[in-house]
Parts: sequence; C-alpha cells; structure tokens
Amino acid sequence: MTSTPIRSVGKTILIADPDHVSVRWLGPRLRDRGFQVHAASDGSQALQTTLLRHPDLILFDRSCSLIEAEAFLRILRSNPRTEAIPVVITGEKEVGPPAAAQASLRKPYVEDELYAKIEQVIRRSRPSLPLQESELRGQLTQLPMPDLLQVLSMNRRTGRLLIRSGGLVGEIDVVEGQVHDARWAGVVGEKALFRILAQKKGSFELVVSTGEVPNRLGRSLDRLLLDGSYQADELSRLMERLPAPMARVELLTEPPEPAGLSAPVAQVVDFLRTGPGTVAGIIERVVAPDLDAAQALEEVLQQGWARVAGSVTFPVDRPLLDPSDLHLLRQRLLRARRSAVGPAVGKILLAPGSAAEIHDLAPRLASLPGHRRADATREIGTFAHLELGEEVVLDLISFPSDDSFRPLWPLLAAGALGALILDEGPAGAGLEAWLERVAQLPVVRAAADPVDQLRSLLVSPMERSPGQV
Amino acid sequence: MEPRPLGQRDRFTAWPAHAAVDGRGAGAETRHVRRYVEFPQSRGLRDPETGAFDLPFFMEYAERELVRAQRYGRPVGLVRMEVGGTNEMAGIHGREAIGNLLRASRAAVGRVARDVDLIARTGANEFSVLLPETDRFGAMTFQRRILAVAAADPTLAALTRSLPFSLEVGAATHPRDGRELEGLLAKARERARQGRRSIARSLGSLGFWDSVSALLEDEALAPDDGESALPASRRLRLTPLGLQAIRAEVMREVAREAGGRGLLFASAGSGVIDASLPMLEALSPGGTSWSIYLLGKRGPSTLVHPVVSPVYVDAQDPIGRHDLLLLLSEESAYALLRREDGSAFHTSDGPLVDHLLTRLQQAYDLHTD
Repeated sequence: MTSTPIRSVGKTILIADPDHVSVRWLGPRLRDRGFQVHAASDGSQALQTTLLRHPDLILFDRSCSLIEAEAFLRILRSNPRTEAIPVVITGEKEVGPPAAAQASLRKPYVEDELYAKIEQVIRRSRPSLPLQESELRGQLTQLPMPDLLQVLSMNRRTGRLLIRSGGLVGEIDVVEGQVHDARWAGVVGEKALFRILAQKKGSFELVVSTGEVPNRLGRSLDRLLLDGSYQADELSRLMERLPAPMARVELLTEPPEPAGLSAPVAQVVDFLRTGPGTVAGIIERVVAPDLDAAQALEEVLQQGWARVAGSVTFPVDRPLLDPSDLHLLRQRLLRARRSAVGPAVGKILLAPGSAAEIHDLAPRLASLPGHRRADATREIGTFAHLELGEEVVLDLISFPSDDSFRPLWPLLAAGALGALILDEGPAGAGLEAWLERVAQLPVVRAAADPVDQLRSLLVSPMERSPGQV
Repeated sequence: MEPRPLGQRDRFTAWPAHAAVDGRGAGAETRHVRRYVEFPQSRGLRDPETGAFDLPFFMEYAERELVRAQRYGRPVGLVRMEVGGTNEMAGIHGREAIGNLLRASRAAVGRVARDVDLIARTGANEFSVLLPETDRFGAMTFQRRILAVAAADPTLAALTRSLPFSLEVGAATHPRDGRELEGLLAKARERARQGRRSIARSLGSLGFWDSVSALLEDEALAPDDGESALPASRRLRLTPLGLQAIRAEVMREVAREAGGRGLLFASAGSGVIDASLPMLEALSPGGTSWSIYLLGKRGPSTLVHPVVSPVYVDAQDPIGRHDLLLLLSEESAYALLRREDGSAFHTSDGPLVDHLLTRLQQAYDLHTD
C-alpha cells in the first residue's frame, strides 16, 4: 500500500467521533505520519478541545452527540479564533459537506484517499488565529474612537475591534475599513455604535476576523461618524431638558392616534403601559439610538401623555472621592486584583429592607458624577455603577437581608469593600452581624446622607484586603 | 517525591514541639510531634505504616516552601484528609485492618498527587498534602480528585464493606487563607470538618437528578443551619425575575473574578441558553482560566466566547424543566436549582456544590481540565 506524503510535522488533528474503534484505527496511523492527534467523543468535547488545542484540522463525525455537525460548524465560524480551522465531515452515508465545511469523507476510510484529503485541506487552509493575537491595540485617550475608525478605513482593514471601557466590552465589526455592525452592553447596531463612539477612556484592540459579517448599518463610515458626533452633542443638550436619569415617568393618558406614532414614540408608550419607568431605563429599552429614544420620550412628556412621578431630584454632586482618596482606593483594589484586565472594580453592598429603599436612594446616587444604571432589578445584585475616574469603578449591589437568600451572601460579599445597611429591622441586624463577624467587612448604618456613608466606607483607614468569606 | 539523604535526618532532633497545630487537635499533635522528636534516629523520613512522609519532615519542608512562596509571591495549597471512624473500628477490627485502610487511603492520594507534591501523615488517621504553586481552585480540584479516586478505588471499596469509614478532606491556600503553616493547617482542618455537616453526606452516591429531587423535595433533607457562620442552604419560591437577577449577578461575579479560575454550569430551563451572555463579555477572551458551560435548547446563538461551551440537550431532557446555576471558584461556591413551578433550592455549602457539579459532569459526560 502506498500513502501520500503529508507535510505533517507539528500539525494537530482533532478526531471527533463517538466510534472508539474508528478512532483507535485512525489515531495511530495519523500519529505515525507525524500528526499530533486529539480525540473527542461528542460535539461538546470537540468544541472544548478545539478552543483549548486550536487544531489545524478537525475530522468531525456526523454521529457526534450533544452538538451536531451543522451547529458545530456554526459555532466555529462565529468565533474569530476558530473560524479559519478547516473541518472535514465524516460519516457512514455519502452526504455532501455542509457549506461551512471544507470536505466530507465516507467511512470506512480508504487510507490513500484519507491522507490525500487531509493534505489537500491543510494546504488550502490559512493559518487560523492563535489566542490573544491582535493586530493593533492601544488607549482611547491616545487615539479617540473616530480617529481610530478613520485609520482603519484608510488602510481598508478587516477585523473585530474590541473596546473595553468602564467594565464593559464593546465590539465593532470592520470590513474593508467600513463599519458593518456593533454591540455594546446588550444593544446592537447604530445604538451600540453611537454609544461606543462616545467613549473617551478605555482600551481598544483589533483582532483578526475573516468570517462573513452582514452589514447591519449599511452606511459609509464618514456618514456614521458625522451622525455619531451630532447624536452626542444633541443628546447632551436634550438630556439637560429631560428629567433626571433616575426620575420615574408614568403614563397619564393614551395617545389619541396610536397608529400614527413614530416607532420610538410607540415603544415609549408601550413600555409605560406596563408601569412607570425611569428616564434612563426608557431610553435604554427603545431600540432606536439614544437621541431618537430621548426625543421620543420628550414628545410623550410634552404631549401630556406621561408625567414625572413624584421623584426627588438632586443637583449633580461633587465627586465621591478626592483625588488622593481615589488614588488610595485604586491601590487597594489593585492589590486585591481579582480581574487581570479592565478597570479596578470594587463592590459596595447596600442592604435594604425592601426594594423601595433602594428606589428611594437611587436619585441621590444618580446625582453622583460617573453614575450609570445597571441593567438589573434593584432587589438583588448590581443596580448601578459609579465610574470614579483613574479606571476605578464601583459596583453598587443590592444585598438581600432576607434569610431565604442567605446562601447568596458569601458570593455577593466576596471581595466587597464594605456594606451600607438600610434595613432597620431584625433581618438587617442579623445581616450586619454576619457581615462584620463572618465576612469581616466594614459596615455602616444609613444615616441622613447615604453618600457620606459611602464615602466613609471607601476612605476607611483600615489597610486590609477586601473581605474574604 | 523522594526522601532526602539520611544524613539530613539529624536536624529533626531539635524540632520544637510548639510547632504543632493550634485548635482542637493541638494536644494530640503536640504529643505526636514529641514522639517523633524523641525517637528521631529510630525511624526514617517516612511513616513506616503508610509510607507517607512523617510529620517533622513535613513541617520543615512546608515551612521552607511557604517562605519561598512568600518571597516570590506564589501560591501554595495545603490539603488535609482525615480518615473518619478509625478509632471506633480499631476496637472491632484491630490495628491491622486500620493499617490497611490508611495505606489504601494514602495510595489513593498518591495517584492524584504530582511529583512535586508532598504527602505526609500528620496525625493518627490524617494525611496532609503540600501542593506547591497551587492556588485555591487548584487545591479544591485536587480535593475533588482525591474523593473521586477514592470512590473508584477497588481496595477502598472492598474495605468499605467491612469498615464503614469516611474521608473528610479540606483545603487551604497561602496567601489567601493565611501566611503561617499553623494557620493553614487549622483552616484546612476546619474546612474538612465542615464537610461533616454538609448535606452532601446525606446524598451519598445519588446521581445528579436524584440529588436534585432530594434537595427540592425530601423533607428529611430540609436545610436547617443554626450557626450563622456556616455555609447555608435554603429552599424558597423563586420568581422568574428573581432567578434572572441572581443569574445575572452570578455572571457579573464571574466577570469580576475573571483573573481567577472557576467553573460555571448554567441552564436556562425551557429558554435558550445565551440570555446572560452580555455579562460574560467582560471576560477577556484569552486571559482567563474559567470554564463555562451553558446547557439548554438550541437557539439563535451568539455564543462566541472561547471560555463558553454550549451543551445542547433534547427537549425531553430534565434540564428543560429546571433552571440550574452551579458555580465553583477560588472565592465562592454556590448552587441554585429551580423547577419550572418556582420551587427552588440554593446553597453555599461547598461540598454540596462539589457533589452536584461532579454528578452533573458524570450525567452529561462533561469533562473539565
């Protein structure tokens, strides 16, 4: 028997096949020819091994369970790290390969045919993206977003631009220098792009991406940048006219001709039909870009269809921390660093007796510079972020004092900087004791101005690492 | 790891007895240390009954390893394993049977340990393993592997039939749990003993879905922990909104802990599996050592993160009728089980979370590194 010579030294092949007999037959033969061979018995394992080992070729059998061949290919092709890995679909039946696969092979294998196919596929494939490979990276303070996109456009670059800012990660798909799509904190398209364009601080990184990216935006970069700049200016002007971001708006009356409303206005009215919502929350939920959403809300208020519910608004407060205290806090967070990338994130726990207490506190917190509402309910978990500057972000976490949530306490308290107890009942007292004794966190009781209490937690002279449970 | 040349043995003659462990076992261990100190020349560096290193050698080696770790800012893990019930059994079956049990237990640990790990007998029925360059998650993984290997060990299985014993394992790590050996030993022992009160012991060898049913329904397993310092378990009614809030916060916590290591298994009941992904986007694609498995029905997926593995299951699979959230990380252990009728159970009991994770991995053939 003859075999086709393959330049195989150092190449890795993953065999995804539940049939152990077949793997035992094939594996040693490929190893004899210099390949490194990995095996997986189902689609999930194959995906895991692919992400871990980054093989040069995958032989994926149609009989694999958990993830079928088509889904496996779809997942692979949607990930910039794996999209270029060639896949040969194997199986008992003669079925053509799916579009995303390079070839198919019928079992039982004919050795010569098998090796020839492997050589052909490997030769044709491009080297796929290794982990963490990026073409370009830097800071937005040095290269602002519009300039960065123009540089990519002039060089007709293709790839995925990752933007990390304020603890969030956004993505912009760039094809031949044109922006095709964007994603940011759960929103997509223009709304996401305009938000990303407004980021002044943070880092960017361009990673190779060669998959098909549909052009969701369909407009030239110049036009998008112009619109982005206009949106940012207009939005900041409009937000001064609108009620405070945390002010609650409630529906007063139904619009007379709902059919004639623009899509954003109709969406605002729809949301308010389900109950009152905050200004920031309404703008967040409208699909259209933030300026359109804010204009729609303004129209709903001006027409008298809705009004601001009895909310208390505060003027914008001074920064939470002085520069020296902020610097100390940053050092403290960096020493206990829990995440290798992004800003230093600290946690402050707020334990209310009911969700209403957090609701009452929200406008006061919203008056702090750098306040950003989180996409979450206020009963459990992170309800707001405070960007304090110097790449320091505080997550404000609603901590349930109810005993039925006690198993959550260690998770929420892990690494926290301190706790503010709003609950004056026995549950609050029990929680306070637990936080001090078990979690060993600094705890304060809410008084006249909770923001002062928050400050006292952050500038606590205690030089200890954040709580360990 | 091989013993050092015999010429170095004499240094143990001056080993201070006060270097023993604090806490409840201090008296016993001080006596144990003295025994070794008084008769150093008559024995080797290894315990003759089990072949593990002896306590004096372990103490000195561990102290030096901790000094080295402190100097270079590196982690060190310490795992303690107590073979429970030997005192009661000794009277019935004799010392020889107990010796067999201890040897088999030590052998099980030996199969899991790396070349650089040091296994020592640090008590009459207790072994300690020093794990250089091992963080909390690594130590917990080691602990899991010991229990898995012991459960599958035919010698131990045969012994179980005549000697009803238990293995209690606990881990501590430098510098997270302390910088001194005494403190680390005490912490590891405290964690090993916490395991005794874990609900996981009542579940025994039950599979994943039987364990879930028992935790959600079995009145005999009704969680009740009076001591507030202990990890807690609770049954509760949980609305979809409450579940969503907890799931989102767990995902956020994973993102906050992105620099560490951990395992997360999540399912979305009858929903599609990528609803909480935006929170995970904060994880760096290449700089994290998390393994995240999302189980559920196939949907219009946006699963592109390298640490996230989707696991698609049939519509008839029990996962479709449950919401699951299982997290084990360097800082936290948490499990939430919820049925579609809203009845739920959640826990921060580490051994129980570990039990559920292991059984889930077995049930769905999910292997993690």
